[in-house]
Amino acid sequence: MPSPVLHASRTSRPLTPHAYWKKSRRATAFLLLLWFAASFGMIFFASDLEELYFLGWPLPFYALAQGLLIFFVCLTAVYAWYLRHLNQRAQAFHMQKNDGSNQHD
Amino acid sequence: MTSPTKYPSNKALQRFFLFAAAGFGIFLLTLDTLAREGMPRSWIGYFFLFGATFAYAGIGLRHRTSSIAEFYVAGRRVPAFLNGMATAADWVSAASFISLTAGLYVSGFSGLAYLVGWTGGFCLLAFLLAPYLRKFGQFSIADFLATRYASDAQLRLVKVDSVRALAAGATILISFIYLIAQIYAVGLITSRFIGVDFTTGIFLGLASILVCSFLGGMRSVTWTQILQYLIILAAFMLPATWLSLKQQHGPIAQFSYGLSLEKLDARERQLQKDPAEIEVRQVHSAKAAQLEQALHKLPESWQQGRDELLIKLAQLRQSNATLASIRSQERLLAIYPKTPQQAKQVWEQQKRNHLEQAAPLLRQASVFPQDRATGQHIERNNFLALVFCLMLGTCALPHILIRSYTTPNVQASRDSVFWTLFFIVLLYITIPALAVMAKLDLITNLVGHTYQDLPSWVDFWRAIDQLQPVLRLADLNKDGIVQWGEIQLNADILVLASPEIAGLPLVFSGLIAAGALAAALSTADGLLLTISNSLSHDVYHRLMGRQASEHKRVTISKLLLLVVAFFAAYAASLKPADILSLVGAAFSLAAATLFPVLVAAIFWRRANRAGAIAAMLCGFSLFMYYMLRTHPALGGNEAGQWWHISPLAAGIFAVPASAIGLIVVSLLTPAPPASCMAMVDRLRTPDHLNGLEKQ
Repeated sequence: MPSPVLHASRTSRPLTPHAYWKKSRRATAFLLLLWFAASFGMIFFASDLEELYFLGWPLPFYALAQGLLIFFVCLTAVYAWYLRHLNQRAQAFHMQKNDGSNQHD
Repeated sequence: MTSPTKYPSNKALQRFFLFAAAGFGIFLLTLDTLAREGMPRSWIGYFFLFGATFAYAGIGLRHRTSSIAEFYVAGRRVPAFLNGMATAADWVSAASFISLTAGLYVSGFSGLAYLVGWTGGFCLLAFLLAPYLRKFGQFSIADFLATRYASDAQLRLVKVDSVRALAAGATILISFIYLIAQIYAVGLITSRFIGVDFTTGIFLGLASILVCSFLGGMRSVTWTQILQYLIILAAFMLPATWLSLKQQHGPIAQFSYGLSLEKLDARERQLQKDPAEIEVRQVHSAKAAQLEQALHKLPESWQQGRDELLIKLAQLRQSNATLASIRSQERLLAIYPKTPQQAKQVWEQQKRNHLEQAAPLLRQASVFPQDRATGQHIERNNFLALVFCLMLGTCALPHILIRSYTTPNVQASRDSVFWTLFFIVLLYITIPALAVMAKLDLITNLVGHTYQDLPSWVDFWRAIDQLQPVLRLADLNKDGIVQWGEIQLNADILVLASPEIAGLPLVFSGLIAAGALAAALSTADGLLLTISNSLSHDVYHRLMGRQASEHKRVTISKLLLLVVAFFAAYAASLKPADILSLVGAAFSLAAATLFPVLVAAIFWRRANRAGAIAAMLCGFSLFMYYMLRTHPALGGNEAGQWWHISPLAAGIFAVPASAIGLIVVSLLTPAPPASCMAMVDRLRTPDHLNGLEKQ
């Protein structure tokens, strides 16, 4: 699945309501997947990683005590930013449609 | 309907934060000077307690309101940044402040489950619930569920609505268990630090909760919580920074505590092999075995022990022993269990403590040590299950969910969750640093020193509460030197005592106590509002169908707030050990009853009313069944566990049960009415697209 985030900054092309929901749902699924893999994956393999040291510090302890938490903050930031972008595109569609109907009259 | 007061501009906000920081700094410096001049310790406590209470009361008075939207949801005008900060204070409870650090200190790696679970839940909140709830935009969670899962008939006439009743019931139950824990913590902090009586402490704290939430509802609570967040942040950051500087790792404790962890790890490995420590562990095993025997021979052993104490006391009195030795003998008699039943409880507890201390020392960073020893994955599975329940429970907690209603628009609710998590994580990444540094300090300042030259803070913490000492030191192997195994510390005081353990100025102790108090009070504020609003809005107004003017509804809400607050304070003043041990399970309860119905309401159009009722009932029943089966406070035992999963993580079974109930019953019954489907479609599209889509 391509990252929805990569496409985000490209344009602010108009977006139909149907496409808006599809894209926002896909972004949600993608971020949930990251969320799940990072948190439960890290815990599941914690004891296998015990002897791994990062800059001299035990990796599993650091990852669960601080690393994951910072990762979670980043995930919510990406979500808020991407959905703001989608909203702008949906707005563009709305404006275009209004313009169209105005010209038609 | 409301007099719109504007929320401040960025410039005004900057001024507010600068002003707050400067005032706070001056307050701390003044107190520090006074403390150096010899002001008694308890006075510092009074200054912090009353200073904070006056500030909260001032905010409550300034923002008093009788408008319903202001009282319930702060007029839906709180900017994302401020709403995030207030929600963070709402969330950071006494448990976060005190027990997280304690958990890391006691159980090492396993304590991290709470850090991960409580923050990961906010991702779910942001992705799955918050923006959609804001889009719906009513007053309570039950409002949302009742509208989404309405039946056709119900749209026409008001009758008893079982979805609303179940949702309101779950909201009230979850919040009330949680509230009692907060109020209990208030009593604990005030009695420990200021030295007032436990019950007095509870009612003092209650007063400062009430002046604020009673007058201004959500509006003043929001402002108070912002101030409380700043206090909590300062209370964590300043001591952590100071400790880090003292252990010579530079000012940013969160990133440099690895050096302390390294030292701690080396010392812990050393202590694991130390012969004196092994000796102490054997003493603990012997004592546990003794207690085991005494427990077997109840009630004779209880009578025998009592007789021995009485005879000894009589002998001392006859032989004209010193007053001090008679006193200490009398004290022994005073703390001796009053009945055989009580003896059973007390001795069981003591036996558990001894057994814990007889076990080899647990290294802070060692991952699932039990699993390694047994070759099974019990510890890892419990960790995974607990994180699952905490995450789902966090995002289904009603007092956090209603915070989505207070932002001005849908996008702001997404931003708000980001800010909430940002502010929570700012605190949480400091917690492991504080725990590790305090533990290292405790080991270096006590272990290996002789009993003659113990630091002075030991006496203070030892003297508190003779009946249930928070700190016990006894020379078990009679070598005159303190061993790690000889320290019995009630871990809940670790945070409160950490400035003294590290030898920081006294004012830091006051600051930490004020921070812990702010954490407990801010959460209690949010919970009280959630409960009283649910009672007045869902139960009185909607379920009982009473029509009342807005003004009257707010008045009723305020009255209910008082009643709930006093009831909770009364319950907490009884020190209900059983309820407190259930608080951890409140997350499983929230996850099992509310999470599946909430998520399905948005992401599965086919979910209907019958399915929702089935889901809440299934989740709740399985949760209760597992708790009764396995939780000691409810008469269960470990033998009843499935796959060795502890009762705290009951949600790992109850959430799937709830989801299955929802799916099966929804599919067996007719699809929801068109109006509910339309509502789902409306929730899924941005505001300005309403009605544009042709279907």
